[in-house]
Amino acid sequence: VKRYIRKGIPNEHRAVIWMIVSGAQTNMEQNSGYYHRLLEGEKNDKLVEAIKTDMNRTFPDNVKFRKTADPCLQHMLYNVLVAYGHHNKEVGYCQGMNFIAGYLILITKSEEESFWLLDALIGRILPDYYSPAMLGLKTDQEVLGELVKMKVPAVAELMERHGVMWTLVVSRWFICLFIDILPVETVLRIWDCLFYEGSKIIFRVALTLIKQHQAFILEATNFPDICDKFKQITKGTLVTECHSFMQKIFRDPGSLSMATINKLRETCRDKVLSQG
Amino acid sequence: MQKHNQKEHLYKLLVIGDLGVGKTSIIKRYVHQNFSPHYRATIGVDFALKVLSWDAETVVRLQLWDIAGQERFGNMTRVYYREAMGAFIVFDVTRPATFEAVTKWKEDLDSKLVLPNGKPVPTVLLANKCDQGIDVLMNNGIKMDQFCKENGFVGWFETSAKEDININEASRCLVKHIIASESDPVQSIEPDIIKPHLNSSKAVSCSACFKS
Repeated sequence: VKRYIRKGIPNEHRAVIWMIVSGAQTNMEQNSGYYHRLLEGEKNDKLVEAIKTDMNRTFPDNVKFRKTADPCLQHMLYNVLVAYGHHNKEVGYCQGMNFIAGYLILITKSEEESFWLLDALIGRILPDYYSPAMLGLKTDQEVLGELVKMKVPAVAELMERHGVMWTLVVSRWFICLFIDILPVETVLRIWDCLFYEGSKIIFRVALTLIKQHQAFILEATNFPDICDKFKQITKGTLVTECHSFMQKIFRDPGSLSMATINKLRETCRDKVLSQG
Repeated sequence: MQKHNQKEHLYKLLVIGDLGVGKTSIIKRYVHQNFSPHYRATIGVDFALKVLSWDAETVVRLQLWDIAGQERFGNMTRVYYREAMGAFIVFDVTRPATFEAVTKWKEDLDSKLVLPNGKPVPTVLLANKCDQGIDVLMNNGIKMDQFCKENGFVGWFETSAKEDININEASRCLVKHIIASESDPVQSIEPDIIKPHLNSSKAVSCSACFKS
């Protein structure tokens, strides 16, 4: 199954496979009617307001997300985010979730399935990226920094020399899971693996982008230059040819065991916590 | 032609404020001279550069930091704020809650960042979307002038990224104050800065920045 998924799930089967491998299907079946009860329940005004502010700012270039579209994906998006914010009160709504839920809706064309897939991602697959403290996000940014130190030391050294914090250049990669950063088809291929293999894939993608463009990044001579390079490396043929890109992410960064990542997560988490 | 005694300044400016007030739109208008109603929500932080010919001898390079408005991203703002020389705090004139948040943003900024001489960084308040005709607070300018003095803003402007109103003016006001604060290190030894509650008479902005 792993090999089949790494080769890319055909689009017409994507929704079904994501639902099954992530456990979302089981949860949905065991909690029949739960999603609709969330939508009918009492609402937190502040949460609703924040979600509304982002409605016209989620895929504004996609006509299906316009207010006037039929079927109105924007309305589905609103429902999914409001329901999720009331389901997972600790997280509520975090910007970035709007883009993720939007992709889920485009693929599943179902509010309820999107809700349960979002729950699989935020509740199980990803560490704590979206809660108010964003501890998992800060930790994983540091973990990436450590991995770059091990695997692409020259780039790590450049970042340190110019005082560029990893969060400045990669926070969107983690929060948006590469949406609007890499081409759509590439993002979906990455998500195929994300749902099946877990959050490790994010590091593989990030490391591949950095390693493949090492020479290019090292041309940077100052702070804004570095930030600009990190925007550039997410474009071009490396990422548009998603099949060869997917092969590269499993080959290029070398071995990356879950044990290594867990250990790094532990030490980086302590470091983040001690910085307050 | 390279002028011999041309001075160059590089300033990092922050653009902060609640979500959806138009921070990205203001920066795009200022840097790229265009506007789109279709900007997407900013995640994390974004940068833009603007070069100003300040006067015959001075070039000013502005590094504009567009910081996501959602509160939880504020957890990371200490990193983003580092070494900034000035700030714009933006609110949306059509949404009163975004104005109420202005003092919170200002306090957050001042608590995380001070100039080398111990003073708060010069900050200009932008009342954005003034083209919308739904002014929730502009009953008169005097109140806003008062608000700015009380809260330590060096000036305020009604702006519209859409109609290109007052953005260049606001930026010039901010840069002018940054240059003034840079060339005035002596102030840091003036006695009244240790009594910040008395500063309203002294920490006055140039009145030219206030709208009359």
